[in-house]
Amino acid sequence: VTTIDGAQPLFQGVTVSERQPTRPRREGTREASFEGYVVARGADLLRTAYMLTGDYQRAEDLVQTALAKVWPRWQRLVDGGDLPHAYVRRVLVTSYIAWWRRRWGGEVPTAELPELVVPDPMLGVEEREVLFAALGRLPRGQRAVVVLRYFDDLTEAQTALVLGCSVGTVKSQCSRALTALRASPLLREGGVT
Amino acid sequence: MTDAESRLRQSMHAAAPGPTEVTYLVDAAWERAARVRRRRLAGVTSAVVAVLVLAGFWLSSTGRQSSLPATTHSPGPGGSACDAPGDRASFDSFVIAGDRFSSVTLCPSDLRAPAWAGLPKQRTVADSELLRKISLATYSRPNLLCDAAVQDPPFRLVLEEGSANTRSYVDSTSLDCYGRTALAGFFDALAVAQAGPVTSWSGPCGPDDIVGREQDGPQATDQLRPGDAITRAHLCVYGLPATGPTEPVGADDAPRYHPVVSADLPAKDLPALTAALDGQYIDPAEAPACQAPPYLVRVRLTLSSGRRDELASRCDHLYTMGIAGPPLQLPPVITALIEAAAHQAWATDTP
Repeated sequence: VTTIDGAQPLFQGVTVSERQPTRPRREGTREASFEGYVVARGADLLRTAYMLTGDYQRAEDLVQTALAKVWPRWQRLVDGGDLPHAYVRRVLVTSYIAWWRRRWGGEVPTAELPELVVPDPMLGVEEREVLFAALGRLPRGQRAVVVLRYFDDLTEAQTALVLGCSVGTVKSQCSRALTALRASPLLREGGVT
Repeated sequence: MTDAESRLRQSMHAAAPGPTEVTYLVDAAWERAARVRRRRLAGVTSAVVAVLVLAGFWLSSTGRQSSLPATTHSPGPGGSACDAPGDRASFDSFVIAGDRFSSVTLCPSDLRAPAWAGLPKQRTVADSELLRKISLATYSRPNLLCDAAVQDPPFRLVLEEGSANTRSYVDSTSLDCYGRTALAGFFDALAVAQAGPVTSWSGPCGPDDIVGREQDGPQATDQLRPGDAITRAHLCVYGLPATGPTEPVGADDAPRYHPVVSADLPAKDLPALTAALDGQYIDPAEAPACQAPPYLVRVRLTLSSGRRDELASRCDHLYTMGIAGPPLQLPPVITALIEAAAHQAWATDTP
């Protein structure tokens, strides 16, 4: 498996060369390493961001923000032997939690904007709406815990590491989130009708 | 994993978007990082220039009472853009202004209409990040939610494309919801632009924060640590209604321009603010009456430990900040300060 940081495979079962970008690679180790990382992991970040924001455009914005924050310290990160993905995911989630400032531009209630993401045939429109409505009622910290635990499939310890809190906090936040989500049709017996 | 957890996991995975091309994210991230770097450099440069100018001013006017000038802005092409708007714009049904245009200028058809009260003379937004707040969607079909908007005073947006150096315009009548969405975003962007660039943690409430706040890195949490006291708090209020914080905002109301209110919290109020933030975590399911105001309040905190943190008035952020005591709402000390700032701001602006 081709690796980017020379330490561990970044993408289980898929080599970077299988996900080559459609344009020529940038010159320079730092640029190539960063680009390789994004090619390998960008889609994962985008999916996590989508679960956090419930909006594809904001998800892209969030990922770009996180990558832009990480880029200046990329070389140090790779040289230091850290796992870039864990760090980027951490920046992504903390940026999301701190992302109050997008409110005034992103929550205009009047417009019917066009759908920017192709609906997934695997999930009905109603179910998706119910899912994001339920997630949207959670405080950001709890939503982040839910996404990391049940979407990214991280353990409680890994989730705590990403959020910079204790395992106990993850457990309590997760428990509160599930309690709140049980009030939604999403987790009620019989599911969405 | 319980049944509920399995169902949640299954729903989330089914709702996730499929494989997508992501190489564009690399360039976007590089461009954004370069913008942040340029902005910081510009901030430092303007701070140095401002210090030199002020020093020169002080030296040349010894004995005279001097004061800091209001935040300066480049004159901008406001007037000429409205006078020579170019051709009618052509874009897809939906575009984020920042993705295509280098500036947007508002040209009201009749400036005397009450809807434009308080609008500054400089009505151009040219900051690329702020332009991202402006969504331009062309009118597509009758929108029942926008019936009231028919009565809104018409306006024109003049759009400049930096790369091609061309100018075009779009009228509110051809925009979705008669331009309300675009206008709301424009007002938000303009208010932040008018607040001036942020040059320090306790400085003005301008555009630097929308790029990325300087905190203590990803390890920072939003929780006030035990023993931490607030030594300085700078308040920024966005979208404050003209008649005061208690003014109800109706769904049928046209967007209004609200300047950003920026002030330091009085030192005597800091212990009370520390006490208000030093609460226990409240589960929103147990305390559902979150009463965040319709406007946005942000307080930049400097803590005794040297850390910096930020408080914002969104309900979910109030939860994570651990503000205690249902119903969840802003601590009275902040509400009182907002009201004082609002009265002061509007008393100053109203003739």
